Amino acid sequence: MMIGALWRGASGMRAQQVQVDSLANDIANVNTTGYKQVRVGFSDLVYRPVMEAGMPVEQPQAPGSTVSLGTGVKVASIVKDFSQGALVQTGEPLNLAIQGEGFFAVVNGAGERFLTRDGNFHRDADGNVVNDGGYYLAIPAGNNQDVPLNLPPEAENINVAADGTITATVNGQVQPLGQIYLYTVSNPAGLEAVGDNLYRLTPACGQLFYGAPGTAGNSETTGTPGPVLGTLRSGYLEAANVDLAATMTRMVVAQRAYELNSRTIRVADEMWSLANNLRR
Amino acid sequence: MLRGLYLASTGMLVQEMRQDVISNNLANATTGGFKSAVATVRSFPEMLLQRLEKNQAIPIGPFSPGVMVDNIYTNTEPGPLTETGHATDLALVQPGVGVSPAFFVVRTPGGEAYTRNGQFQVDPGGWLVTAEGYPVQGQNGDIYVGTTDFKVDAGGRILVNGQVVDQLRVVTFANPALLQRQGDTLFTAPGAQALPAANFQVKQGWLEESNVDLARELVDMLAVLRSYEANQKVIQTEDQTLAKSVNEVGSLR
Repeated sequence: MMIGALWRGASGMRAQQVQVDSLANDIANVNTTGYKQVRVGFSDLVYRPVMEAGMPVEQPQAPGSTVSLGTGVKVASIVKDFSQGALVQTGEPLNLAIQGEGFFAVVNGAGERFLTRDGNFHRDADGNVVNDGGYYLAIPAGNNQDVPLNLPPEAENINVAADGTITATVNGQVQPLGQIYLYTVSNPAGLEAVGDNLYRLTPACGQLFYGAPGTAGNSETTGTPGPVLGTLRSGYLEAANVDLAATMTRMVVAQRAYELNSRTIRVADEMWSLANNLRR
Repeated sequence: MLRGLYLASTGMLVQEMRQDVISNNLANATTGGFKSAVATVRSFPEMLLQRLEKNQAIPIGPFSPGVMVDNIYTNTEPGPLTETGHATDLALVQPGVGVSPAFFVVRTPGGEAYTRNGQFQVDPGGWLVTAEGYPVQGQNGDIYVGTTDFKVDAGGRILVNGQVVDQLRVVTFANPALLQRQGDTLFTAPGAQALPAANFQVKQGWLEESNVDLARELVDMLAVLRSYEANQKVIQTEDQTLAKSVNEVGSLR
C-alpha cells in the first residue's frame, strides 16, 4: 500500500514536471512571431477496488457500489492554444498579421506544405514572396497544387488589403498583382509543430480549407464550406499569444503542486520507515 | 495482549489507506473537474467480552477489535471556476448549496460515462470530444461542430454560425453516492438512472478546477502520519510487555 502512495506522488511530480517544461517553452518563445502557447490538461488514473482479503474495509451498503482507490494522475492532453496574439506594427508592407482564424501556407523546396501564423514575408531575388526560411507563400492553383506568389521586381509601393488582394505601382501605374489566401483545418490541435514557427499537416488535422481572407474557406478535397477566415493587416506582425502574468501564475501553481507531491512521498516514506522499525 | 497487537495493526492499515486516498487527491490537485475523496473510518462492530467463572459466562463489557475503512466517499462539491476564454472549455454552474451535481455525458467504449471536466476538444472529424477522445453527448448523440468557433448558451445549446446544431445532455442523479470513478475524470453509474438535470447553467470559456482542499489534505496527511506513528508505538509497547511476561516473569536465575 505504501508503495501505492509513493507512485501516486511520483505521478503527480511527473505531471507537474511536464507542466513546468511546457511553461518554460512558452516563456522562451514570448518574443517569437506567431508563437502559440500550449495548454497541459490532466486527468486521474484508473481506480481499483480495495475489496481484498486482509483489508479492513467494510462491504458497502449500496448494491453495485465498490470502494475504490485512485492510482494517481496523468497528462491527458497538451494542446496548442490558437487564440489571437497581439499585433505589432512594423510598417513593412509584406509583414502580414492574421486577425481571426487561419494560417498562411508556405511550401519548402521539396514541395511540402506547412502552415504558419508568422507573416514575416519578403521578396527573394526572383521576386517570389518567401518567409525567413526561404519557403514560398503558397497560392492555390487547383488539384492540391501550389504556386509561389510572384511580384515583379519593378513593383513599388506594394499594398496588401484586408481581403488579401495585392496592388502595387508598376511603371507608374497601380496594378492588381494577385491574391493571398488563408488556410485552416477542421482540427488545429492535430497540427504538428515542427519549429521555425511552422506546423506540418497531419491526418489528425481533418479537412483543409482555404479561401480569401474574410470569407468562409472551402474544403480543398470536397469543396464543402468551412470556418470563416480572418482578415489580413499589412505592416503588422502577430506577437506570441503567451500571457506572461498567467504563465508565471501557472508556474507558481505547478511548483507548489510539485512540492505537495514530493511531500506525500516523504510522508509515505516516513510511514514505511515506521513500519520497518516496528521491531528495533 | 495479543488482541491489542492486532487492534493497533488495524489502526496502521487504516491510516495507510487514508494516506493512499490523500496522495491521490494531492496528485490531482490541478486536474480539471477532479473530485476529492475522503476515507471515512469507523470501528469494527463491538463484541461483548465474557468471563467464564464457575462454568458460568459473566459479561464484562463491550470490546472493539479495531478500526476499518467504512467507505471512500467522493466529495462532489463544485470546484472553483477559472476563465480561459476557450470556446471548447465548458463549466457547469448550479445555484444553491448541496444540490445533486450535474454532469456532462460522454460516450466511452464501456458505455455512458459522466464528467465535470469540461476541457473538450474538436477531433479531426469535427466532433466535440474529451481529452481522451470520447464523444461528448448531446440530445441527438455525438455532437458535430466542425470548427472550434462555436457558441454554447447557458442552457447548453450549441450554435455554429448562429444555428443551433444540438443541445448538451446534462444529467444528474437521485443518489450521487452510487457513482463510481473510472479514471480520466469520468464517473459511471451502474445501477442508477441518469436524470435530465434542471436548474443548471453552462458557462463557455470557463473551466472547473479540482475541488481538492490543499490545506485540509495537508493537515490530514500530518494527522495520518502521527496517528500511524502512535499505533506503531502501541505495537512496540505491547511487544515489550509481551517480552517481559514471556522472558522475565517466572524465569529462573
